[in-house]
Amino acid sequence: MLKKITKEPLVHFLLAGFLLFVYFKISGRDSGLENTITINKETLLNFMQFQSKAFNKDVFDAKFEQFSETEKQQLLKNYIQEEALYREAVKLGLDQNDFVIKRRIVQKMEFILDDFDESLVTISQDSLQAYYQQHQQRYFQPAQYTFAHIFFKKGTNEAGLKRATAFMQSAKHQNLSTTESLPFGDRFLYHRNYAEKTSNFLESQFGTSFTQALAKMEATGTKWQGPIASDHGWHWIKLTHQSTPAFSELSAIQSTVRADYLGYLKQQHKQAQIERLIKDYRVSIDL
Amino acid sequence: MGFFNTFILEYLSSKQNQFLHQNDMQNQLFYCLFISILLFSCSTDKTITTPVEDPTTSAKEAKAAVTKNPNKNLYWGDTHIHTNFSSDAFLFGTIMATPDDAFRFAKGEVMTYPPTGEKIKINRPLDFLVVTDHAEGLGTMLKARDKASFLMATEAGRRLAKIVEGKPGIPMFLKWLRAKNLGETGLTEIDTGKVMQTIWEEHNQYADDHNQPGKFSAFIGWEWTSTLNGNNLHRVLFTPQGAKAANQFQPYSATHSSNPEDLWNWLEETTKKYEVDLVSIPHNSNVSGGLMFPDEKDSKGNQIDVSYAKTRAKWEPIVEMTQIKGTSEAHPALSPNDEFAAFELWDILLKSTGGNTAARTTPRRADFVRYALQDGLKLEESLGTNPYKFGMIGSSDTHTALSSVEEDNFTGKNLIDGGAVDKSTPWINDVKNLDFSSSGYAAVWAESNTRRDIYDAFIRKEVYGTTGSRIQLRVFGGWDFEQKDVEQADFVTTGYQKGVPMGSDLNNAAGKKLRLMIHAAKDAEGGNLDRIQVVKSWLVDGKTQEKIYNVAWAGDRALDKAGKLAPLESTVDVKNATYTNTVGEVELAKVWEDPDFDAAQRAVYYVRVLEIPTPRYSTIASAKLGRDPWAGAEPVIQERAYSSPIWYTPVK
Repeated sequence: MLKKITKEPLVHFLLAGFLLFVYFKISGRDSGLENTITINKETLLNFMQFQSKAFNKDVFDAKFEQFSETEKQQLLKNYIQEEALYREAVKLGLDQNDFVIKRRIVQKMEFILDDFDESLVTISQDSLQAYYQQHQQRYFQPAQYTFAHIFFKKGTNEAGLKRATAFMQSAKHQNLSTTESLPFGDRFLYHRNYAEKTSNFLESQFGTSFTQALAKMEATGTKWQGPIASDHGWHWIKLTHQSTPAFSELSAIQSTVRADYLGYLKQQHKQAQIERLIKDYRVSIDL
Repeated sequence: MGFFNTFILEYLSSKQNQFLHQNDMQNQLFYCLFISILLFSCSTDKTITTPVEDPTTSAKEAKAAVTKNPNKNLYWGDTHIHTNFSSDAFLFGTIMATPDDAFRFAKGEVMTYPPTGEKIKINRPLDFLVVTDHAEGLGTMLKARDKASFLMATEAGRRLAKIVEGKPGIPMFLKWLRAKNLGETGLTEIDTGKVMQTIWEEHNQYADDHNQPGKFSAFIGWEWTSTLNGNNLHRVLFTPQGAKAANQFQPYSATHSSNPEDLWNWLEETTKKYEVDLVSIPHNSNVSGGLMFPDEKDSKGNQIDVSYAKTRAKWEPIVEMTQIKGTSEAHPALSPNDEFAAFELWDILLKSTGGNTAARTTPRRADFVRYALQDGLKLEESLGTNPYKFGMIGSSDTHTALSSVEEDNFTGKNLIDGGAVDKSTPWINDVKNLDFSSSGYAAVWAESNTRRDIYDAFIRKEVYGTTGSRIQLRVFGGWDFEQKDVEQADFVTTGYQKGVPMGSDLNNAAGKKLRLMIHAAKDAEGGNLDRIQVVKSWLVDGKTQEKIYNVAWAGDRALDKAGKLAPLESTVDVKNATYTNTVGEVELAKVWEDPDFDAAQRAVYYVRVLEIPTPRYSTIASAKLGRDPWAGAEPVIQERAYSSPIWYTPVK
């Protein structure tokens, strides 16, 4: 057992380290390169630039030359303090397993890999077409509605529904034009007319049951239909137009698809770069 | 330009105690560039004249038959957007975001947010948009990077191309700065000649391409970026006409002059000469250092007179009073009785203190719209005409090309601070990204969604501003409204028949008291309404007064003796950034009579509508990151809408 331990390189290393420690402790001095902070003008100028997050050597050189003796001493003091604290932190291993530092370095790497140059890319109509077809769901145009309505407040005990139904008994009311209809019914909190609005938009102002009922209506443009219920009450609807939900034609949204395609190529390019790097690693998984 | 080097050195050294962070670099760049742009000064005006046949309407607009609603429809938009045609936006990383992107995003298309690569989309599309890039150096960074031949044909362009080689960032910026300080960039030359013409025409084409009468109005505009000693005098300008008309002139910039009086002179000449219409909209009066709404001297030190008042009122009928860099309604120090005045304030000037802190302004009356409206009454009393007869809107001023000031979908000031990211990062010095406000939008009551109808609504001031929420607000002023009028299905027709809409004048009291008919509905996808307030300002013996009336509110609260209303209970769960609409009303409607009306006193009224408390965008971001809100910003806000005013002038 002891024999095995004496052959272990780690033990040799620890022993050597201990001896060195004893030596420096006894000799009373910390020599060694890692304990020397070397400062020249170059170092200080670099320090100044990183502190300021601006990089122009000449400007900082001039600034440095203008420093008073006290200012120079202060700069030196700051530099020494930062460098000493940094090295002590590294010695204590504080840079290890720190995910903030790790993430920051990874970000730097990603930034380096992100060197896609759009101006070098030529996009053929065929490749654009292929991309469009693969991602067609993104270019879906939902149904749009154009209508006017006469509104009756919900009220209690179906009062709104009763008033709404009674209102349309009259032949005169059935023949009201949109403009003529304006004085009738109750005040609606939003609008009397809606032009080319999607069901999403309408849902936020009327609620789901309303848009579902609207979807089943025929766009006659003349007849008042209903009454249908919303979150607020009852509505007579004059639906003049309802577009069918469809995918937008490529020709109509060429520039949009092109921009999306470029973004896609850029992402692909970056991913390929990352894959290339990963290929050089052997991954050992122990779950 | 010696000042400039000093400034940069001071500024850069003031940053010494901060950790290296790419975002900071971009922010810092932004700041420096912004300042530098504003420092050009030259007084040449070389507009290029090209005769055209039809300068008034674009052919597309003339052909389209658009249905008009005489009772007006409500349209939402943003009149203040920057893209990569703005030099500051470009140098800070808004490299790929073109005016085309700005329009596409506003129309509701899915885009990629460059810093994160995430897909983003506005929750609800806008109805109109004005792309207002800085006129100073318009598009030149972009064209120099692409080595555009028309730019490379000039000596100045070739120099600029060398400067902007590679990735934007500090070194490029400093290269550009040094060249500029040495007078090597020739920016004055390329800002006014053929280069500007080519870029301006391209910029205008984007708007023409995206304009769809009846569906979406895409306007041609720009920003006049005048800053006097760090004090903001910026204006955005736009025209209802198309590229054909706009290409006749070149945008007036701070390169030409930094004095608003010169801008108005140019507007007078240009609109006559080319038969175009233009409107100028001041913004960020909050950081104008007391220069935006003066009541004694103009920007050149001349006494304000009748001509100043008339000219200003003519060209500047609208003020953008809320945006990402704060709300300029009023200040708590100047309106101590207004418990809602401390809302999204901003006080950062565009200059350096030389230290570690940003230069901040102290609030002055001339910095806020409420006091400008008051001083307008005072000036009218002495001059017979009111220079500050303006309507009010909000807009974003985003430099991302992506206009979304939706609290849960804020795209940010720069392409840095949008989305669920650490908002406590510094913008500059002790200013954090979370100090920005996710605000605002312009709401317009217009007959149809065309350039002309929307522009006309701006001119007659039938517009209002919100802090990003889509609160619907209608205000009519008159003498004979009854409460039952606003309960009618068709109260709007009554409003126009018996009174005047927001932005208008009343004068013949005939023994009656002034009444306002007000209707507000909640944002269909937002928080319920807390209350409607009327902010009245008036003049007694030459002195301005103000009073805030609570006129309609949710819940069974009662006014106290001072007319105050207890705050509504907040439903916000700060940790999860949620709220419920269990308090508040979906709709508030009221005919209000001014109990203190005096027919002998000049007065101006505007309506302020408050939502229930909801989580601020920074709180939504912190919740997404699973942490508590960052210190330094209110976690909860009350979104609001501000109507354009109604004025009462006694008949003498």
